[in-house]
Amino acid sequence: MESPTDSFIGNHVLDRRIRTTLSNAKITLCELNLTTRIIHWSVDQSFHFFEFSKSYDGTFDGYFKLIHDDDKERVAKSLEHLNLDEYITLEHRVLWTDGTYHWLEGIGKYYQEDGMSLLIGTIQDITERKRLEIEREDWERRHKLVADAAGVIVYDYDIESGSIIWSGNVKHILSFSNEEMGDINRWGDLIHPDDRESTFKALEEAQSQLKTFEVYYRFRRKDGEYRNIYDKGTFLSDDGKAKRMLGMMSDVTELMLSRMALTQSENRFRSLMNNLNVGVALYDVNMVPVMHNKTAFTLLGMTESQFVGTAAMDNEWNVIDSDGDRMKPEDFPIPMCIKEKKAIKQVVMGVFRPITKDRVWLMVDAEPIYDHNKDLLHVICTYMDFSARKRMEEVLKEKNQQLTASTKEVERRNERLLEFAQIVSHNLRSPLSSIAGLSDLYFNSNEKDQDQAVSYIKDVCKKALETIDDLNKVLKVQQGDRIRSEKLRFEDCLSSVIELMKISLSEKNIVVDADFMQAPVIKYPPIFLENILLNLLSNSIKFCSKTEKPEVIIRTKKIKNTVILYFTDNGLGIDLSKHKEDIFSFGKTFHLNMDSKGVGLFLVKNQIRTMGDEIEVDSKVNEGTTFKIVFKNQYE
Amino acid sequence: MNSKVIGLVDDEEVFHWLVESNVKMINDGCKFLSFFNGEEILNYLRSSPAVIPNILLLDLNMPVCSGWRFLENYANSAVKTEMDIYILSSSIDPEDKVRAKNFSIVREFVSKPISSDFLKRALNRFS
Repeated sequence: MESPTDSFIGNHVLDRRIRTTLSNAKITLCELNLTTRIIHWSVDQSFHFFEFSKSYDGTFDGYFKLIHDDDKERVAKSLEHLNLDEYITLEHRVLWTDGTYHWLEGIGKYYQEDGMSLLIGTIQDITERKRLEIEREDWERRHKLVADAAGVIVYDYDIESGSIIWSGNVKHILSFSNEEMGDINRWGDLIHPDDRESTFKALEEAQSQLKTFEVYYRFRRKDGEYRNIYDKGTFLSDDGKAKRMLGMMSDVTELMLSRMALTQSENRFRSLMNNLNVGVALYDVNMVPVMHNKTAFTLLGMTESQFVGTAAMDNEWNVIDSDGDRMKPEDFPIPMCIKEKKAIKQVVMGVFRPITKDRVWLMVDAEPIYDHNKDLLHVICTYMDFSARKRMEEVLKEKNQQLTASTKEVERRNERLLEFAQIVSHNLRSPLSSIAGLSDLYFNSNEKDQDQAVSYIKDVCKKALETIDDLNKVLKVQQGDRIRSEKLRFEDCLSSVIELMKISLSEKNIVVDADFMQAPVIKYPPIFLENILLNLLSNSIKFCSKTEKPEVIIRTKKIKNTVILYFTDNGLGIDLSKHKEDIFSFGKTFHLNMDSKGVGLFLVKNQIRTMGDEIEVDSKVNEGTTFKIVFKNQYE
Repeated sequence: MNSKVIGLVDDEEVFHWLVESNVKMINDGCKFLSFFNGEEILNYLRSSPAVIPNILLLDLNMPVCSGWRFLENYANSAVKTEMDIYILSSSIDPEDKVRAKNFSIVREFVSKPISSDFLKRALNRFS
């Protein structure tokens, strides 16, 4: 490069040190004669740092050509409007030898001397500064873009001066412009008085420890409205001392409001849940409760820690189904719901609660909840106590059974009453018609016949009275439902009967062989059982065999919940083909001998039927008779 | 007047005396045969007796062999006579009357007590 030597600066002797300093600072001195358009540079070896393009001829016009096209007009205009003694600063780009443009800053003062217009000053290479500046502007622009897009404020706080550079959504969020916001004191003034102290305390703390500053505070807008601000910043330090803080602020008022509303609604929901008398629990797919109310674990008879699985279950805790069978854990509604991936409803669980030592009847529903991928997310389960209803159902069932039983009893009674009425009408009609006939005869016959008639009337009356007595016995049997059942031993009862019949038995040499080993006990009214055994035995005595050695065999047997009594003799027997219907009828006898009146078996049948039991007979003439009595519902 | 024969089947002894006395008052020449159950009269009829009743008065409820059993046996037996059979029972059960109608050999169902009017009517059929 050709050095311009004919300069007025070059004519001056400059101190070497000044030159060196200027050189280090990449500054050169120059004088531009605007009238002659001659430019003088400070001639120095150090000039090499100005690497103008090789085409530079050292003239001002040559220099002007090197100026970037974008800057030419601005530079030219600035030089046209100069005022005396005024400093101007001109930043412009100049073409360098390597083909790049360097930013140069010319600072000069305008003089007039000897009719010449002179501009004297310095030119400095500010490329590096400019690059940083541009870079910073670039960053700031990007920051602002990001901040705007995120709806946040970005700030750069210079700690020493207290100034803050604001960018981003400042106006929108804080209602103040960047300029109105100003410095740290202005910011502090706008914080809600109640939050101010704590915010500054947090700031000082973060600053002294170079930690992240993170606070929530209320900020007063122009209109006086307070907004909730979330503020987070980090410190830039130099030698362990905080220099700047870069941070971000965002308006979280809506978020906080909705969070508050959520909390409130959650609280409301929780208090609602806890006041329900229905147990509610939300389980995850591993059957771990994620949310539940008190009723849930109380109804299930667990402590809360047992319910959530942090404490072991009580060994006594168990569940039965509505049939009373033990319920297997895999049949519980929740695992079923998870397995089948569908709602499991109205499962009846009878839970034994070790805490209260009772069994509670729960109606349980389990419903699956899916996420947006249709994957099972939760199972919501409700537990409803219906013990009271269950108890009522049981009472109702029992009452129904009682009603059915009493209806049956009424039917049985009606049947017996009808039968009784028939017996009465027949058995009393017979003697009365005899009396009527005899008295008719009495008035139409001779003295001898009259005496005979009266004597017969007496006989008939006596028989009629006996019949009435017998009917009375039957009536007493039919009121049998007032007679209480007791636990009786067959052996004891038979002994007392044999004692009563002892004389007749020994007269006829009858052997009684009784064995009650298989079913020794029965629940029955004592009078009934005694009467049954008495009548059967007296029946056997009456009709005992005259040719064979008379014998009575008595056995009992247990079949399911019935007791069966077999009463067998080897006596005369009954011709069942003729008399099957008549055996247990009132006033029937089938034999011409003996003292039979035919009431005993009728009574036996009546007593047995009164108790709802059954009697059957099997017999062969001259071989013997077996009575079989089935006593029902003996073992429950 | 030929002497009529009246048979009575009844288990009540007093009734035999009553019927016999009544019959004697209407017609002293009547012959009276007593049976105390169905089996007795059946056996009598089977024994080819010289005297067969013109009129048979039959009770229903009797031990050993009831009136019904007699009727069933008699209706199915080879023994055939020209008896007027009257059921004479203390039963007033309509079912018994219906059942009696099933036997064509039964002339009439008469409820006790027995009246002399009935006996006169029955006897007059043979005068």
